[in-house]
Amino acid sequence: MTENIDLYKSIAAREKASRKEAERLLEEKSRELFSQQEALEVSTAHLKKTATLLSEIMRVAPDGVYMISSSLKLHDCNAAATEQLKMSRGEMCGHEAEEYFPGITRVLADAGDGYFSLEQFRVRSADGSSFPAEVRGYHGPIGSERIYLLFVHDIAKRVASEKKRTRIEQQLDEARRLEAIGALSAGIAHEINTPIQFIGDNLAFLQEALKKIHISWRKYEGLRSAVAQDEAYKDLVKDVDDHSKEVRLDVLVKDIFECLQESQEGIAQVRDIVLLMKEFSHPGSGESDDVDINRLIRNALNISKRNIDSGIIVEQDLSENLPELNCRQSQLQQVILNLVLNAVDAIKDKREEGGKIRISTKSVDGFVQIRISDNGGGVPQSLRQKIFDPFFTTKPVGKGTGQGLALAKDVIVKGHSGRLTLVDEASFDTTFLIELPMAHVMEEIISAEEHDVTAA
Amino acid sequence: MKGAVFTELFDYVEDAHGPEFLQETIDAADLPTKGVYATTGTYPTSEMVSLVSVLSNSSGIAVPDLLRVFGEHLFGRFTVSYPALFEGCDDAFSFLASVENVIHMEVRKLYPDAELPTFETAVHTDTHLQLIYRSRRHMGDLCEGLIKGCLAHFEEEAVITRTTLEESPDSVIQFDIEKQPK
Repeated sequence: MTENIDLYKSIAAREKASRKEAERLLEEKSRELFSQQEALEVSTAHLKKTATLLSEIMRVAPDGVYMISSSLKLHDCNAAATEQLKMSRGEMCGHEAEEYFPGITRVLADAGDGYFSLEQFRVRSADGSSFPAEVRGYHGPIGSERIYLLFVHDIAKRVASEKKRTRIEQQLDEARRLEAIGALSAGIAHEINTPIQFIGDNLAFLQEALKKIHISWRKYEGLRSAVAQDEAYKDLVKDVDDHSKEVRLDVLVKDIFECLQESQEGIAQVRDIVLLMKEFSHPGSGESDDVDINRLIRNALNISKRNIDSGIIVEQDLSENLPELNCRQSQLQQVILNLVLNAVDAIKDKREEGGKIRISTKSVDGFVQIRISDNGGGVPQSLRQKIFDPFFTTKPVGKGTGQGLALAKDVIVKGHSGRLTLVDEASFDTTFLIELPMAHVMEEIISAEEHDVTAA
Repeated sequence: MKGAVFTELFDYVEDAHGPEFLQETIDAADLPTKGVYATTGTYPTSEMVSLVSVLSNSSGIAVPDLLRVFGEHLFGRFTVSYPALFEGCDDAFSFLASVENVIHMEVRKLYPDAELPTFETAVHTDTHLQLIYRSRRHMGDLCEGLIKGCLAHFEEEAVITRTTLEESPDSVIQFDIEKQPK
């Protein structure tokens, strides 16, 4: 009995110890579990924070971020990407990248592992529009997959701004060049003007004097005739007649008159050139006003009607929706007139009969465009760069001053911040395009020029 | 109440009076759990009250005295069972002042559902510690025993003055512990 009691006591003691050991182990495990859970909570919170941060960065990132699978399909993107492609993430995913990034297949095929970049890439949106972009890319493992990442920066505004800047710079260069030529012209005009003035005056005096001498000679001729039969003057008359025959005095007088007339005409022509040079050096003269360009063209055509042969057809295609432009009416009308007369001359020179001149107007991107086209043979390719240079002309000597196009360009570029160019147009040999900025574009140009001056 | 308090009580009674006495006590207390406790479990405080009442009857010792003596013993057991809780503590005041923010926090790691009393440290100087005990289980005597056990563990002499601030529904007791020079 005592042995049994001792046995049970031993068993009870062992069971109690086992229980305590089990409780100790349980507490130890509980403590471990708590520590692990605490660590898990910390890392979960960290992960959540990181994920939130990443998600926020992606949401506010100004550039489109595109994830492309190794099969070159769009896999995921950020908010900016949906705005760029004008479609939701759901609509985008699964589509071939080539649909929106034409040519990307070849680029990605050539891209090795790591980073790559494309300076200018055309991205096509879902609505059919497209925009230029700078693309930075990555190819390699992200997580468990190998993917392509594209970071797409829309540079449409920058490209437009660069184009605009280039155009303004070209205009400024052109204006500076014309200004320099203008200054040179003013100097030459001044130097030529004085001698031309007294040559012209002397020629006029000589012409008048010769007229008087001619009258005197006619009187002497009457005297000679009256005394021709008088024996006393016979020898003297014979001597005069012999001398007259020898020098052909009648022809000589006529020739002198012609020479003086031609010289007068020549001097008048030089005067005209000097006047044009003066005008070239002071293109800013003339009041500006709001002008109906179509009315201006009709006026110019009316003025030139006398010069337009009946065989030349003049077509007008004038847009009725043009805004009025603030410009110097007389200068602009003169430019149009010059271009129309140039067209008429070109047709007369090159064609036996017929010929067509077409004048059209329309508004394009903030500019009013005036096109003056003719089928008068065109301007040879080799001369296209020179036709706007002052004193350059293809007309025969004495017919053209070489100032018309130079002055026209000066009036358009410097006087109106516009453009005058020679362009190609189907069915015509020559087309001059005048582009005049509308009010709001003019303001931008002036502002840019002021900025340019300030920067300089 | 945590099962550890019950199991320690059983060990204490069994060691002092033998297994038969313990079993008789358990039977007399007529416990719904039949006295089956694990340190990791939580059990009704009423069972502790029943057990202590039976022990008081059988021993002739008043319940408050029994709880104080057991509390003092219990603290000694805690130092053996949970030595990690005492690491870094060199004196009784530091340990008692850390009960709320350190010890209870560690207990909650193990037993998230534990309903623990609160120990607010109102005054803490080199010689005076004022603790405000607050509990719905009204175990102020056990608490006093534990404080005594703590002082004994750190071998410090102190006078404990106990002031009941509230009795119901929570028992709120202020313990002023004045350290005595050794």
